[in-house]
Amino acid sequence: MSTLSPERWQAVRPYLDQVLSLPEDERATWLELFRAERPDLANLLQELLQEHRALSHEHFLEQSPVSDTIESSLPGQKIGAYTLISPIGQGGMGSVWLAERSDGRFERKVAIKFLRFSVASQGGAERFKREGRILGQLGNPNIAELIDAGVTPNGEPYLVLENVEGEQIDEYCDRHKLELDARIHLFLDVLNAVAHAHANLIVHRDIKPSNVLVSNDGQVKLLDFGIAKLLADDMTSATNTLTAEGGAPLTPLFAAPEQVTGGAITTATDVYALGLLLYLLVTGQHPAGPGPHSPAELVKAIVDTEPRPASELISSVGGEALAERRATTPEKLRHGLRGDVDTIIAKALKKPPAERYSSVTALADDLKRYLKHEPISARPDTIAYRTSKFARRNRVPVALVGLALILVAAGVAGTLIQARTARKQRDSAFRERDRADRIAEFMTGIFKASDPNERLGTITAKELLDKAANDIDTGLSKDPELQASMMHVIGRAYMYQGLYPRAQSLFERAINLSSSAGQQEKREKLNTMHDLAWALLQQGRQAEAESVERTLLDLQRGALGVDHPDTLATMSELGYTLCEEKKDCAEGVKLNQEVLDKQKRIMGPEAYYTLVTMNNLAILLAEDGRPAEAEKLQQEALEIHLRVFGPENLSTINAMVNLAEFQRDLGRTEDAKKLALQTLDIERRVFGPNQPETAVTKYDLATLLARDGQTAEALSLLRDAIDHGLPPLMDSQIEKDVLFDSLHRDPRFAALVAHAKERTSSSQHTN
Amino acid sequence: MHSTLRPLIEAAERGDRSAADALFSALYSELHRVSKRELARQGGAVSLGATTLLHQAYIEIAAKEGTSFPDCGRFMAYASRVMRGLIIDHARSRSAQKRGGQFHITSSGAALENAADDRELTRIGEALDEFARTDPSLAEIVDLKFFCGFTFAEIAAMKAVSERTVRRQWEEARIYLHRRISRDLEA
Repeated sequence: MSTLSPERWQAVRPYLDQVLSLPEDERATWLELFRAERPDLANLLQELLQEHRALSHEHFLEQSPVSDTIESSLPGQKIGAYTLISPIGQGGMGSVWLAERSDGRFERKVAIKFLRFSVASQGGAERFKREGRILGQLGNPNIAELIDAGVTPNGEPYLVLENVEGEQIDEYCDRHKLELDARIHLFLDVLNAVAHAHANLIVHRDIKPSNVLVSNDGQVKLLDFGIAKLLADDMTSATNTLTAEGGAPLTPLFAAPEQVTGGAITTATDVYALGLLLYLLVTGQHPAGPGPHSPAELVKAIVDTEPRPASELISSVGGEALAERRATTPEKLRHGLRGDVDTIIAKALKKPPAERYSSVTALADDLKRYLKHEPISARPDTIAYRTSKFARRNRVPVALVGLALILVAAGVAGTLIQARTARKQRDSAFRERDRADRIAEFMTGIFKASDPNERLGTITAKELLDKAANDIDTGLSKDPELQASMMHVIGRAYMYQGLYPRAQSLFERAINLSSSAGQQEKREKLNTMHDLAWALLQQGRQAEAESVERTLLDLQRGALGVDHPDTLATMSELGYTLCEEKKDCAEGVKLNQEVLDKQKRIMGPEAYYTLVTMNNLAILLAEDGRPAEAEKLQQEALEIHLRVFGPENLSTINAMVNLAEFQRDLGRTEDAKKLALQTLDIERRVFGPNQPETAVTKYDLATLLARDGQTAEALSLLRDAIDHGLPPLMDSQIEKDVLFDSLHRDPRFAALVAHAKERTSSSQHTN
Repeated sequence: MHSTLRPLIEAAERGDRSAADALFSALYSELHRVSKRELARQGGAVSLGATTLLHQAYIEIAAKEGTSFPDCGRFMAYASRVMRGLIIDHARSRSAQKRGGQFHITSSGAALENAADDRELTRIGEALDEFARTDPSLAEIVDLKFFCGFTFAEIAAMKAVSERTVRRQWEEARIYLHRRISRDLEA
C-alpha cells in the first residue's frame, strides 16, 4: 500500500472527488484514462476506491456512536419467567436481549424485545398484553413465534419472541447465487406467510429485508409481525385490527405512500412493501436508487416518482457482478425481467392502494403463472392511464406532505445509521429515533428558513416560532402525543425569548392534549407542567403557579416516587413560589431544607441539583429575615461551586451575586463590594459586557458604592448599567430603590432616573 | 450588541489559537450544562440525542447572545467539534472504568457497553484529529454527520452547498479515515 501523506492526499483528492461523482459502472473506464494522464496517482486512487468498497461493506461510520434509548435492562435481570443473558441488538423500537427461562424448563433460548414507549395507564398495559396474545396465536412455520407479551414493573412493554438464527433474505439469495426463478420461489414462501397473517386480520406494516430472514436450513422466517401496530396503538386508540388511521412509517425507505401521507393502513400496505422487497431481490437496488437519501428525495420517491421498471436497472456495463450473484449474465437477467416481472412489480407498487393487487394471494398467483409461463393478470400501464392518475395524485394536500417530511426526516436519520453487518443483530430494524429528535428535525427546518443562504425576506425567530405553532394545529392533529411534544418544545423556545404568555398558552394546550389521549402519567406531561409553573411565575401569577405545582407534585409522587429528582425539584420550587406569593417564606425554607437533606443523601453533597437547592434555600432564608444563616449557607455553596464548576459557570455566578447581596444586608459593605467586582469581571467574560446579567451586577455594585458615599462612581456605574443591558423592568425601580436613598438629593441622580424612564418608554414604542 | 462567543468565533476564524481554545471550552461547558440539566430534568434515566442537545444549546445561546450571534451553520460547525470531544472523552473514561454511575452520553446499538467499541471510537477520534490538520473541512463533515447525527440535507444547508457535494465529501472522509485506521491496525 502506498503511503498517504498530507501532500499525497491533497494531490489525489480532486480526482477522488471527480471519480466518486461518476456512476459506479463508469469508474473503471475513467480510471484507465486517468492512468495514462497521471501514472503517479493512479495506483493510489485505485486503492482508495477499493478502500471505499470495503468500508461500504462494513458500514464504516454508519452507526451513530450516541444512542438515545432507555437502557435500564441488565444481564441477569428477571423479566417475567425469563432471565436476560446478553443484549443481541438494538431494534427499531428498542433493545433486544437473548434470554432463557428462569426455571430451566426449556433449553431453547428466546429473544426479548423491549419496546421504547411506556404503557402508562393500566388500560394500556392490558390492551398491550391482549394484542400480544392475539399475535401469539398466528402459528405459522414462516412467522417467528411470539411466545409472550408483558409489561415490566417500570411500565416498559416487552415481547418474548422465538430466537431466529439466519440471515436477511437478500443476503441469503446473493450468497447462494440464487437465480431469478429460485428467488421468486423463496419469495412465494414470504407471500404465503403474509397471506396467513392477513387471513387472521393482522397487517405487518413494516416488511423490509431485515424483517425477513432465512434460517440456516433454508426456511423463511418473518419477524415483527404486527408489532408496528402495537406501537401505533399506544398513540391512537385501538380501532379494528385490519385498518388504522395514519400510523407513521417505521422504516421510511420501505414505507408505502399511504404511510407517508397519513392514509389508511390496510393489507394493500403490505402488498406495496412486498413489491419493494421483490424489486430489491431481483435488481439488488431500491427504486429510489442507491442511498443514502435525503428526506425530500425519499418523500418524492414514495409519493410521486414512478419507479423505473426493474429490467432497466440491469446495465450491461456494471451489471456483471449483479448478474453473477444471480448465476446469469446481464442480458439474460434483463430479458427475464422485462415484461411480466416488470408488470407484476409495477402493479404491486401502485401509488393508490386500490390499484395494487387486491390481496397477497393475487400477487402470489401472478408470480406462479409467470413461473409456469402462463399469461399473468396484471396489465402494463398505458399513457392515458398514467395521465388520469397524475391528476389525482396531485391532490395530496401540501400540508400533509410537509408533515410527512418531518416524520420521514426523523426516520431517515435512522436509516442512515444502519447497524454494522459485522455485529449484525438478527433484527436490524432501522432505528426509529425518538420523539425528541423528530422535534429537533422540525426545529432544524424552521432554523433553515432563517439561514442566510436561504433567506426569504427577513424572518425573526418569533415569526418562525409563530409559524411552527400554526403548523402544529394544521399538520399534526392525527398524533396528539407528538402534537403535545411539539407544543412543549415550541413553548420552551418562546420562554427562552421571554414571551411567557405565548409559552403559557402552548403549555396549557399540550397538557390538555395529553390528558385527552389518556397519558396522565407521561413524563412529557409532567415536564410540561413544570415549565408551565415557571412561565406563570415569570408573569407574576404566583397563585396559579402554586396550584400547578401542587398538582404536579401529587402526580410526580404517584408516578415517580417521593424521592425522585423531579419530585424534589418541584418541592423546592413550590417553596420558592410560596415565598413570592404569600411572603410565607418560613414554609418555603422548611420545604427546601427537606429537599436539600434528601438530595445530599440521594445525589450527593456536590451534585448540581443539590447546589441549586443550596442557592435557593439561602435566598429563602434571607427573605425570611435570617441573613446570617443565609450568608453562611451561601458561602458554603459558593466554595463547592468554585471547586466543582470553577468560576465561569452560571450557577457559580448566581452564588456569588447572592452572597454579595447577603453580605450587603449584613452591613459588610467592603466584602460585598469586593465580591461584586469579582463577579463583574467574570460576567464580562462569560456573558459579555452588555448583557442583562452583567448590567444587574453593575447596578448592585452601584448601590454599594452609593451607600459607601462614593457618589460619582455610583452614578457613573449606574448610567453604564442603564445604557448597557439593564432589563427595562428595573429602570422604573431605580427611583424607588431604598439602596439609592443617599443619592436622592443629587440632581445628577434625578437626571439619570429621567434618562432611564425615557429609554423604557422608547423601547416600548419600538416593540 | 456585542457578545462573548462572537468575538471568540471571529478570532478563531482568523486563526487565533487561544481564542479557538477558549471557544472550545466555552461551548464544552455550555453543552455540558445543557445536557446535565436535560438529563437531570428527566431523572437521568434517558440519554439525549446529539442533535437535540445541539439545537437546545443553540436556541439558548442565540437567545442570550442576541441578534449578532452567528448563524446556525457556523455555530454547529464549532459545536460539532466540541460534541466529538464530549463523546470521545466519554468513551475513553468508560473504557477505563467500565460502567460508571453517572452518564451523559451512552454508547449505542449492538454494542451496549462494549469496550472494544469504545476503543474503536477513540481510534476514530485520533485519526480524525490528524485528519483535521490535513483537511479541516472534510473532518468537519465527519463531526456533523457521524458524531452529531445531522442528515446530509441539514449539512448541505449549513454549508450552502448541494447535498450531492456533501455526500461525496462524506465518502472521501470515510475513505481517508478507514485507510488510516486499518493501517494503524496493521502497524
